[in-house]
Amino acid sequence: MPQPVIKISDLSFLRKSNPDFVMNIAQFEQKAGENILLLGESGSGKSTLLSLIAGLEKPQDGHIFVAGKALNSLSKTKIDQHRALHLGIIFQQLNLLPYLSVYENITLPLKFASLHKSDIDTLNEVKRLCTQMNLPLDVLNKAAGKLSVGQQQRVACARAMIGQPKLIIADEPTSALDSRSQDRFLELLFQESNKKQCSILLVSHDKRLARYFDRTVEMGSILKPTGKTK
Amino acid sequence: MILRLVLKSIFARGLVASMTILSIAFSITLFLGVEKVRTGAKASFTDTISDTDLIIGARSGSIQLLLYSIFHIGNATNNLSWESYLEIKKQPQVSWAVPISLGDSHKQFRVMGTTLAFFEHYKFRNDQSLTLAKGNLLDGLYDTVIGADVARSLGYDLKDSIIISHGIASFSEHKDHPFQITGVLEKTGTPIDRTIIVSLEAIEAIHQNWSPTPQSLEEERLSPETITAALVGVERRIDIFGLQRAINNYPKEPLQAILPGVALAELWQVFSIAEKAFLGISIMIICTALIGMLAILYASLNGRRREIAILRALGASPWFILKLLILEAGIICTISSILGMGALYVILLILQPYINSNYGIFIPILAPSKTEISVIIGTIIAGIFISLLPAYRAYTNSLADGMNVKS
Repeated sequence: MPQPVIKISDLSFLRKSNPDFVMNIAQFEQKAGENILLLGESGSGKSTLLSLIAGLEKPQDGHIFVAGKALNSLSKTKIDQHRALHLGIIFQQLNLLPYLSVYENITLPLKFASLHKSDIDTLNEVKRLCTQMNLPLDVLNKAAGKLSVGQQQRVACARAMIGQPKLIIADEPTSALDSRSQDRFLELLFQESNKKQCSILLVSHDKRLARYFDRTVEMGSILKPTGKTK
Repeated sequence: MILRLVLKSIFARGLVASMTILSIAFSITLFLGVEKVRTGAKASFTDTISDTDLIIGARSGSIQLLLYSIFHIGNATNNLSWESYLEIKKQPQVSWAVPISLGDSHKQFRVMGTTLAFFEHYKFRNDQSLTLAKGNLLDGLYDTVIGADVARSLGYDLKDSIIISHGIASFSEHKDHPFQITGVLEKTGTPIDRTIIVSLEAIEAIHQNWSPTPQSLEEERLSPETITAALVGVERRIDIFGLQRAINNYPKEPLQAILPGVALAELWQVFSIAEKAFLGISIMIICTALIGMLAILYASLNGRRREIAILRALGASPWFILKLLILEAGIICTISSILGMGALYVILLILQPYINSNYGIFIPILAPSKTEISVIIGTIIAGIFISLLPAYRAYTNSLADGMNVKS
């Protein structure tokens, strides 16, 4: 039986800067290769959960296993490296560093992951991803800030796929796109994730996206009632 | 990678970054400029006279003797007898001696009686000799050689006649003894520029109301009874202090011998408060620029939270973010320093001749001094140190923000 790509148990998180916000999760699991749509209202803690899974924030209690590693057993540096190597992250918008070229944006995680690939292999992989994402190759040397929003999201998708991602976490990546671009973006995302055999955990409040996913999880269903919410 | 990232980030924020760089560069130019003027002024001042081992005059204070004999400021309280001068000149330790007689003036400029040996032995700024811009040295009794400022201020040229006044700011003129300008000296940046040089005999002649006739051109008749001061050079430098002591204990009249370098340094101490004030102002200017950089770094942090969140999401550690901002400040300060120093040298290249000819301050264009390099390094270190505050803020923000930054 394959190991889950995410396994959360007995998690308790209290944001120090906002003591009113408490997140308790008894159990949450995502199988390897499984794609989950996490639905929830604005302010329900979706982005916080993604931060915890990405290792950007640390729970006070409980365990989070991501891509086979227990995050609380790793040092801060190892968590950052683990994230660079095995996680692809896509934000809602403004995903890219506008002053870097498209090529530099896509290959940035490789630098943090200390994943040594030859320049030719990297370039070939970037070209392949761009082609896969329907991006013309002449954008590679363009400053990322000069691309359209749709193109920027596809570049962010290519960046999330570079390296050896086991899990893509995406925080409302389609909310800035029109419905046609949304469909196209998700099709490309799933094509590539299938190829790489990685799982997707996508957060959204748009229930219409459910058809693309193996499973839909309501944020409210995994939270233990505490009487306190954001 | 981090360097490339920082450079691109700086270029992307071109306007703000360039304003910060310009502000710090301008402060550095100002600081180093003030420092150059200060050291140039000090060097020009202390190099007013060189290669003269002792200045001899009637006993007074060392600064007073220096002021009236070299800077032509004020008057001697007493004179030095010609016999004493000749006796000192004969001492075996003395290599050369030049008499100076002051007291008369022309318009606002002092007249100095001396001998041709003055032109040979008076040295300034690294042992440079006086040189003529045009004309010849003193030949006839009523010939005069004038300093560059005298010629420029009064519009004098060769063969012009001048009348010398008795004393300073006096209406009593030696009208019957007009002098003819035979030479104009090159600018030196010393009090010589504002001096009218005549022969010692001529000073004697105008005060005896004496007109030359063939039979009266005897040296003895025109020998002065007293002179104001004398410049002395010794045979061996080891003799300086012995000779000084002998002159200070001269039995026939109360005399004083001073070391010009020591007296000049003492005199410069008078200006030390102004010097320190200049230094203080310059340091304040750099501090202001660095605080400006701190404000800009702080102000830009909010706008860069997104950038930092992206980097963190891609695997950058908070330590990397800290390094990023510190390196950015270091690069801004380094570029500013190079720019500021470059600007200073360009300004010096353009203005050096003007400052030298108009203010007599010679600012040499040399490689950066230890002090200047220390200022540059200090500015960069201070910039890095100051950037620790916003960098730490960015570090803590990056820990707290996680994926929650929406704009």
